[in-house]
Amino acid sequence: MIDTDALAVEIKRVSTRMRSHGGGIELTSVDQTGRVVVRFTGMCCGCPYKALCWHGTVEPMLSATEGVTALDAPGIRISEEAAARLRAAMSPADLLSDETAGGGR
Amino acid sequence: MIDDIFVFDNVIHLHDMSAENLTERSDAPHVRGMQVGMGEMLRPLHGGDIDYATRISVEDMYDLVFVQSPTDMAMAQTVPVFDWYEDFWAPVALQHAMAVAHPDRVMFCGGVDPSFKGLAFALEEIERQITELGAVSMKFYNSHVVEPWRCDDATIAYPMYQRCSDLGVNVVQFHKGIPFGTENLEYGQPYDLQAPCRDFPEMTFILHHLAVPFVQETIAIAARFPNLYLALSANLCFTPIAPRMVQEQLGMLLSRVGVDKLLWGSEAGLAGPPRVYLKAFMDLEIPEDLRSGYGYPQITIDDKRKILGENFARLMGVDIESKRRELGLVPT
Repeated sequence: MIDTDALAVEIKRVSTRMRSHGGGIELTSVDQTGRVVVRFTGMCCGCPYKALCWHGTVEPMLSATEGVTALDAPGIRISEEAAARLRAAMSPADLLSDETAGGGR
Repeated sequence: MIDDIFVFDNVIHLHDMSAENLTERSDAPHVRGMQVGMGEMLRPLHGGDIDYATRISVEDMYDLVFVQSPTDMAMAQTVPVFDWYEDFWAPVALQHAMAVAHPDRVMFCGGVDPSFKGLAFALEEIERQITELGAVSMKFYNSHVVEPWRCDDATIAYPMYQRCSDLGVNVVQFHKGIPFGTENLEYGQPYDLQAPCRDFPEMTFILHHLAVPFVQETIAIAARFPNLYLALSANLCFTPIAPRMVQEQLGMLLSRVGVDKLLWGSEAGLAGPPRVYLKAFMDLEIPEDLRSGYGYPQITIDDKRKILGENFARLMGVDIESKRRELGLVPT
């Protein structure tokens, strides 16, 4: 069972992070199986980089909410290949590596 | 049905390209030739013996769509293009006759134009077509040789949308891109649907043909407006001819617009029987290089189910399970 209050807090947290992009997200629906659908708002709703934002920020943050089993939003579908690349590029280990950080040693 | 997929064709047109219906404009035969040529281009795909330069009958259309093809429901759409056709390219009465003849399978979409006898007449016609003829949607063509109009014109276009809405019709449709004849191309751009989508949030606007050649612009707009749907009318007819082009377009649409706003439209009878395009679409996949190189998602059977029928059924308030029972449909 989803804690809807916790979900609302998390959605607000995500939207706060996205504010600098001129948009955010809002809840569209949540069902009993834990499937949550949100939509992008403001400048974000037509942004061609929505998928990047989704996989890098929105999905990881919302999926941590208790009871969330699946997440979706219009306009964020990308191929498995692209999703894998994003996951790899955004993994904490990669972000902290010398090479990614510009250490160049 | 295709297997258990309910097929609801967003757009069929019973056109009248008979010589009797041509206006006296000097370019009318040329324009008719352009449209007949489009039909002829597709003829090798289906091998039909349709005479395009004529008036399509209700019987012939039923045969093309429901006998020769696995279509379950369709919308007969008026094409109020009057520049070269006295009684429009696809007349009101003929579309209505199709719906009256097959009320269980065919919905009637009316059509008016403020540049044809003026706005007052268009508003009267909207009322007549909805209240007397049972139109459940209205179709608009704003590009014309003389007196083209913008879809965001608050004095011309908005009163028509408002009249539709007041009468309970909240799905309105627009031909965009693909010039019909010799009119200027710029009125076929999709830009002027943004303001109506903003100003009439309770209405659904359906843009046809991806506004070819303005595909990128259309996608950028549809991605931002939840009440702008895209009818892939004619676009999917290119699947057997130019699959790569369709794969690229569909990949972009699935990725950026979302599958829930995409509608199948056959363009029968100019496109012939829909069966050939339906088969090609069912066989279509997004190839590995587009998935890997552009990040486009694979198209799934659920996507095809939504595009072919579920999305339009939802928009038009058709309960698919009830309709299946009513029509006695069983999975093939």
